[in-house]
Amino acid sequence: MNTTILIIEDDTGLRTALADNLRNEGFAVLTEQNGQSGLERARAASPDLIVLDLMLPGLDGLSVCRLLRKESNLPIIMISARGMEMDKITGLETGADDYVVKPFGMGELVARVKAALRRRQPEPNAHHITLLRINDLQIDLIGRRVFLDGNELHLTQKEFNLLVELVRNQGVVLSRDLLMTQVWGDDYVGGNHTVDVHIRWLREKIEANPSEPVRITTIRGIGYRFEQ
Amino acid sequence: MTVLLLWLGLALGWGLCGVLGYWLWHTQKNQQQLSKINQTAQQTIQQVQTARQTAQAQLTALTKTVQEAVLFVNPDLTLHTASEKAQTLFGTFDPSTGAVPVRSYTQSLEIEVFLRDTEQSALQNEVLEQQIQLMGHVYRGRAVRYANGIALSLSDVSELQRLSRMRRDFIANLSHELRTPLTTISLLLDGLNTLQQPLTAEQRHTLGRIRNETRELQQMAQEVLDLAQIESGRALFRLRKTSLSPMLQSQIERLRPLAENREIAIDAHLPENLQVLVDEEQVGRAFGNLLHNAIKFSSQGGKVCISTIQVSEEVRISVQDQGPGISERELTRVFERFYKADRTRSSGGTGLGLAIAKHVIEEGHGGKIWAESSGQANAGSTFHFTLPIA
Repeated sequence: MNTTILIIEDDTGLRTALADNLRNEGFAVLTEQNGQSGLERARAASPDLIVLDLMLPGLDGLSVCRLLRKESNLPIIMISARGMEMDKITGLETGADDYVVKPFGMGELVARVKAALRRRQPEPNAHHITLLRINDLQIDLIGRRVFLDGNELHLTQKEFNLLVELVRNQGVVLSRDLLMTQVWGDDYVGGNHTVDVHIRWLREKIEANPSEPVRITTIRGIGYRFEQ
Repeated sequence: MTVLLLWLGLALGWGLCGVLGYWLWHTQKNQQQLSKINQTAQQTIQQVQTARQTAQAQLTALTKTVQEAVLFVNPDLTLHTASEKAQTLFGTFDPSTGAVPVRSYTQSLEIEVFLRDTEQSALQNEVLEQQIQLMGHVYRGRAVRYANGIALSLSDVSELQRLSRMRRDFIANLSHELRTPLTTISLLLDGLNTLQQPLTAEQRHTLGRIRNETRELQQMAQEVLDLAQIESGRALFRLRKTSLSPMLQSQIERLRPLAENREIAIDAHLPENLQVLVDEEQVGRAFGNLLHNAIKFSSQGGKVCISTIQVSEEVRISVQDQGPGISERELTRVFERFYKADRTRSSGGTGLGLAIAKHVIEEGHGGKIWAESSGQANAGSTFHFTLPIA
């Protein structure tokens, strides 16, 4: 029996082109044009893989992905015009197995479809990390608590979010504006000096010597890095 | 004996007179000094009073004219002064009725917490910022701690926020609307290659041209998105240790078909094992923009050279073309948004590629980007940029 792929895409041109190309590759193809009908078709037809557009009318791609993920671990490849790293992270954290940014070529999509089919059995709970541990620093993501050498630290909400963002990107230099956007949100209106102030407060709590920090280092003119 | 007593009395009398005289003289001198001190004190008090009155008058004028709601708060978080705009927002404040806690005046826990943070954690004269929700609006709060109090200004940014959200949504929708048909075109082109009947040479040539034009459109759609990021004034970068050569090589391979189409050779000398600290995706694109331009402006059969040189803690990457060159006047202007050098160099594009490259290199990586050209016709031009070595 052929491997069945369900395409959920609202744009007729793209849906047809995708379907034709995947059929040429030897897959059986089902198509749906909105989130709700896609979800129902996925439940009824049990395809081997879903190609899911992120921006769909009504029930959007992220919601479809979240709902399906609760029910099964069938591979989902999300396609989207939104190519920012944040969008990809959101897509992947929602449970998508892969994220392909438009425009893409057929070769790339087919390669990703095949790779996702090979890894059909994802590790259980791979997407649900609840505890981060970096040497003597421990972060409980669910309880939003931080411990240093076993002693609980009292962090404000912003300090906690800032720390988690830095730790999740351990070894990566994050620009001030990026931290601003991630922690204070896209809508924040104002300068990025706020980041410096909160980094200072955070250092006072987690560094042995806040004036000579070893955990959160400053990369002059660019931003901050949580050292590995 | 009597005479002796008389003399003694006289001497004592003279002595007493002397002492009395001295006492009188001394007292008078003291009084003069006192009155002088008094006079100076009076003058100082008057000066202080004048200064105080001026400061008070300035403060009153300021609180009446300033557009933002401004609060001056005592260290115990009771209100000291409220600007007129603040009184419009929170109600009349009469200092004579006794101490009013800022929490009960503003009815905002957020403001109280922000002020407490400022009081406890800010350095003197350091401005802290926070967004505060008040009565369904979003305010940008700026607080500063001074010797004996805290000043807080609040400005309504709801409208600004609404407009920036609208712009973001517009760009996201636009990119979606552009990228979806472009993807469809690419997929349809891929489909044509798998047709049963082989294509004729002419058909293949036409398909190649459609593919190139599609790539150009995809490049433009990407540049419009990048521009939106620059316009937002934000530099969103994640810098990782990255091998320089593979990053550059992948862009060279991406653009090689374009170069081959025009019979342009790409001559690249890349270092082995050099690690740089970069946002790979964005620097890759910036380099891709430079290379794309170099290919675009080279005449058929020309050569594009890529070289690198290590200078202390940086590496300089250079892209040299044999195109028409750039006049001295335009060497710096080519990095401006929408700027296109003279028409001989103009061959389509948004005129954004170099502005984007500048943003990525300078704002995102603290590097430098510049162009060199002898200014003579067909002498070519070289674009250089620097990156931090990891």
